[in-house]
Formats: sequence, structure tokens, C-alpha cells
Amino acid sequence: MSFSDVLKSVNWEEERLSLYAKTPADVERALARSRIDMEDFKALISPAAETCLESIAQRSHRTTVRRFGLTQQLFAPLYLSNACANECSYCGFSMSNKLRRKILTPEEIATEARALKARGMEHLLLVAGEAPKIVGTDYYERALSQLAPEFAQLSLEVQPLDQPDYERLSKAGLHSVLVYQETYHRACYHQHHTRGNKTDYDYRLDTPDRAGAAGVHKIGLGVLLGLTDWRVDSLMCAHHLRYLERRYWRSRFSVSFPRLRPAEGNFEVPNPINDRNLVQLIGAWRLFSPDLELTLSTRERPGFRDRLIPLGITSLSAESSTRPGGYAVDTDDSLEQFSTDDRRSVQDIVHRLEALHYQPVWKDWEPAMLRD
Amino acid sequence: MNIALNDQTHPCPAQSRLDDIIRAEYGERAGMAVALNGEVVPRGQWADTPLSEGDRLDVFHAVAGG
Amino acid sequence: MLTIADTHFQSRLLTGTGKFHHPDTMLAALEASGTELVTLALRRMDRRDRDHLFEPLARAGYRLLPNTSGARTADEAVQAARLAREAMGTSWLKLEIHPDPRWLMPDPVETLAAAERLVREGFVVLPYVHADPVLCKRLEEAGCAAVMPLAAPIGSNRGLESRAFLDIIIEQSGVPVIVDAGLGAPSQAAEAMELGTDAVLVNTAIATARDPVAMARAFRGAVEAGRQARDAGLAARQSQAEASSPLTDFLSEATP
Repeated sequence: MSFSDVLKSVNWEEERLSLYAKTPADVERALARSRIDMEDFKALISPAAETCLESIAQRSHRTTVRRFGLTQQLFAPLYLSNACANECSYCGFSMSNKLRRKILTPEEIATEARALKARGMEHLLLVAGEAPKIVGTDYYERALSQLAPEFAQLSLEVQPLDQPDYERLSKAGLHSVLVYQETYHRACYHQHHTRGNKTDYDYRLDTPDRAGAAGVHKIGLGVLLGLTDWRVDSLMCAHHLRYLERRYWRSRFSVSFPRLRPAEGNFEVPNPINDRNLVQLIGAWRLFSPDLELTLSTRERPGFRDRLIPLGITSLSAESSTRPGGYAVDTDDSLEQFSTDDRRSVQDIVHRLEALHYQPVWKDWEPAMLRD
Repeated sequence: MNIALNDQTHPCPAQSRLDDIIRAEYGERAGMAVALNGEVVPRGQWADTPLSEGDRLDVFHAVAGG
Repeated sequence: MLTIADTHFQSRLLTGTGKFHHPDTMLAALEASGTELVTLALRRMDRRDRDHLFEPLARAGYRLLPNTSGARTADEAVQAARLAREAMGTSWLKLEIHPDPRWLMPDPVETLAAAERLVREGFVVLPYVHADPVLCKRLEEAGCAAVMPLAAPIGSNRGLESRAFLDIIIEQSGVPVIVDAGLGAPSQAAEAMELGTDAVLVNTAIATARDPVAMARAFRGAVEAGRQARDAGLAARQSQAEASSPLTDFLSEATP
């Protein structure tokens, strides 16, 4: 039994109709309750809630501060490789894109890591395209083993792996696994993922199950906002989260909000989500799961990002480069996966957080306590 | 010979079977279970279970409880 | 509908059979309660026993839930379970282990150990435990068919003293949550159902009422009302509004 079995009994169209049928009274009731269930979440992300954004934001802010305090965790992505055997309509790394492919060597990883360490970074998100023949579990194990002594927390956002792989990587220092489903709508998924292992919807969908079974500390979910109706897609993601929280209760979970941006190849975003709706969605997630980690990337523009911080966000990336070697190895911009909008330096972000009365947190965990 | 029936010494004829003792002591009743020397003996096997000197027989039944 | 181990129940009120002043009153109260699942205990038999409880209960069509009361260790509970299965012809079991005779506090360590063994032996195990969220998850992982956290000390009639923890258990649980012990009044049973509990087990409050049959009827109504309220979508208490600076005004500004 895994989530792909559970999702079979959830009907997209029925869920869509029930979501769009929510009324302002449903939203009011949801906002007054101490525990938000799936029906409440539906109400909070429905069009009926758009007039209650301020109430949602206020409650989300209070709930977040009560659980996390006035802190924001900082992390940086470290792109290991842009080699990719998939074809994804929206992604600059897609196989057919004429792009110089680069896979960092251990020396290059060390160079990048030094540059990030110099900025104060302790939490790294290791990212790679999907090219399992050359960048697979062995490669990740080496990279994690190399970085683990230097960094407090290492996360992985790469191709889905098997449970034994996650067990191996956990021993090498892996803390969290992020595998976004991109979209839970099966037909839409197939429309945008046309080549490579990523065409296997169910295998990707069951990845958090395999990571949970392997005992991974933190598991990240997400919808690529813009592929289809963000409301229904996020609702499916909420079903996924609730299932996982119950089943893998020893793990923590995170959700992030990647909004589609133009990538290489002139991709038209089919169903863009506007700023108001993004605010609504962040608040709804917070109320739905008070201890969920909510992550905001540098895809968003600086002023808007600052405004989102008090609305429920708990973790931020800063001064990100989205290409392998981008911090120190070479400075050619052409390899990047997507262009970032918030290019402020880590120092600027830290000053901004302090001005907003938030404490930046570089590491919230001392892994040395677990090492021999 | 003597057996221990619910911790009491209980004299009974040699070659007694489990079934004989239960029938004589408690009559035909549902809702009972018997352990012979700590092992539960299913009701269907009572007639085929011979007893020997010193056997310990514990007899239980359903009572009111919460 | 309540479903435990693929068995469906219309009633969400489980009742105990202890402490009634007469078996006939007990049977009448059970009928008035609408219960479909009743607990029984197992004791050594005395030849003078005239308490023929099993047959009338079985005849009335109740599903029986033998308990392991009296067991103080996992070993004793496993032995009691095997005897109960033989005596009552059911592998359903309310697993309770309390080494402490005064408060009958369940022993979490022995209970988890016994649950693991009993699930392997094919029992449908419903463990009686403290309202401990981690323990409930561990029991679920061990294969228990439901969990039965206590509301308050058994027989205390104090209501949902463990509310904060029950809340977490209900939210996390993948198996039915049955609140057991401590519910002294129908209003408390209704409150448990409103909280999202799947079912409640009541014994003392019914058995020791001046009119047990009427009290059984009252609990039945309360459990149904609480569940209906839950399903209908409860209005929450108004939390006090906090004046604070607006967080979303920037959305109506031209360019944030």
C-alpha cells in the first residue's frame, strides 16, 4: 500500500467541483476552527476565500510564530549536474536543449562548497538533473560523504531513487529528500514529461513513501504552480501530505511553491497563478499543517519575497545559482535551469530579515551529535 | 489419582479424560476455556485428552467486565 | 459507519458488561444503548458460578470483545487472549495490562510487546492505553486494529482530561480511535465524538446510574449527536481578534 493506491480513490473532477462549490461561510468556519481538515483546506484555497486573504494571512502568521518563532532558515542550492535524460516542457535542462552539460568533479564540489561556506551557508540542497547512468546513487553517496563533515544539513533534489538507495545515502549524511510531483493531474503530467524515467508518474508519486520507509528525516513535496489549476493540484498535494504525515510520523515534511518562470525553449505557462493566490495558498498550507516547513526560493522578486516572509514561510534560499559550478567554478550564465529574480546577496537577505525582526538560522541541528 | 483443578487438589478416577472432569464439575456450558498444564486445549479435543497424575487444569469462563 | 478490521458497525457506542446490579438490567441497558460490540472479562471458574453471561449475550447477537483484565504482564495477557479466543469463539481482543491495582493504569511497555505477539497469532487487537500519541502510532504499526486511549482514570467519570493528546492521536491515527475509560456523562461522550473520536466505550457511567437503561439510552443519543455535529461541520469558538498591522495590503499596491 502506497500513495498511488490511495490516489486511485480520489477523483480529480469530484474534488474540483466540491472545491469550487465552497462558500464564504465554509471559509469563515474553517478560519474559526482549531484544526483544519481537508474540507477546510478546500475552502481556504477556493475562490470563496479570496475576500478573506487578510484573515488567512493573520492567522497563518500567528500560527507560524507560535510554532517556529521569529526565525527563518537559510539554505542554498548546490547544482551538481545539469546532465538530463528527461524531456520536460518547462525545464532548461531538458535533453533536447542545446546546452553544455556539466557534472561537477569532487574537486569542483569542494570549490563550490567553500564558496557557500564563506557566505555562512550550513544547509545545502544538492540538485541534479536526471541522468542515472552517470549521476546515480554512487555519485550522490560520494558527494554526501564529502560534504557531510563540513555542513549541518544536506538535502537532495535529484531523480527518484529506491528505498535501499535512500538508506545508503542516509548513512552517508542525507537529511532530506525533495521530489516534487510537479502536477498530480495524470494527463497533464504526461503532456509535460515526454521522455526519460520521469515519464513514470506512479514511480515518482511513490517516492516519498520509499524515502519515508527508509527513515529519511525530512521529505519535501510540491506542485509546479502553473501547469494546471493550482487549486486542485495543491489539494491533491494536501491529500499526499496528510497520508504521509500519518504513515511516516517520524519524519518531517516541507512544501514549497515554485511558480513557473520562463525557461530555455520559450515555454508558455498554461495556468499562471497570481500574487494574491500565492498568498492565499501559503496561508492555507500553514493552517492545514502548523508544523510544516514552507520554503520560498529565489524565483520570486525581492520586494514580493519580503512581503511573503511573515505569511507562513519558514525557510528561504539566498543568492542562489541554478547551474553546476555557478558559485565559484565558472561564471558562464548559460547553463542555468531557470533564471532567479531575487539576486540579492546573502548579506542583504540577512539584513532584510533583521529589519523584519526575524532571526536568520544557519543551522538548527548539530549532526555531530549523531556521528561516531 | 489426583490432579490440580483451578489450584485445588482434585481426586478423580484413573484414566479420566478432560471431558469427564469438566462435565462432572461444571456441566455442559458455552463460554468456557481450559488450559492443561498451561496449554489451551480446544473444546473439540477434550474427549480425546487423557489426564495423568499431577496434571494442572485451569478452567475459565466469560464474566462481566469492562 | 464505524469500520474495525473490515467489520462494519452502525453504533459508535461500545459498552462494558461489568458493575451492573443484575444481569437482566445489564441486558436491558445494552439493548437500550444500541451497542453492537460489548466487552467481557475472563475469570477462573467456580462450580458455584451461576453467572451465565456468555449465552444470552451471544444469543442477542452482540459481537463480543473479550478483555485481558487481570493480566499484569505481556505473557499473562497472551495466555489470557488464547483462553478468551477459545472460550468466546472470537479472535477480537481488548488488550489491557495493568500491573497497578489501584488506578488500573495501562502498562505501555508490556502492552506494545503483547500487541506485537498477538497480532502475529492472528488476533484483532484493540489495546487500552494512555492517551500517548507515540505509543498509539507504535501500536498501529504493530498491526493493531484500533487504539483505545483513556479519557481519564478508569471509573473516575472525569471526562476528557486527556483532550490535548487525544486531539493529536485522532489527527495522526490510521486506525479507529476509541476513547475508553473516564467518560462519566453523556455530554462528555458527545464531546469526544465532536473531537473526532471514532467511537467510545462506556461501562461504569451506565452500570452504576440509578436507572441504567435510561442512562444507556442517553449515551446512545449523545454519541449520535456528537458524531452528527462532527460530520455537519462544527462552528468553532470565536477566537479573539488580534489587532495587528495588515499583512496583505501590499497586494493592492501597484508594484510591491
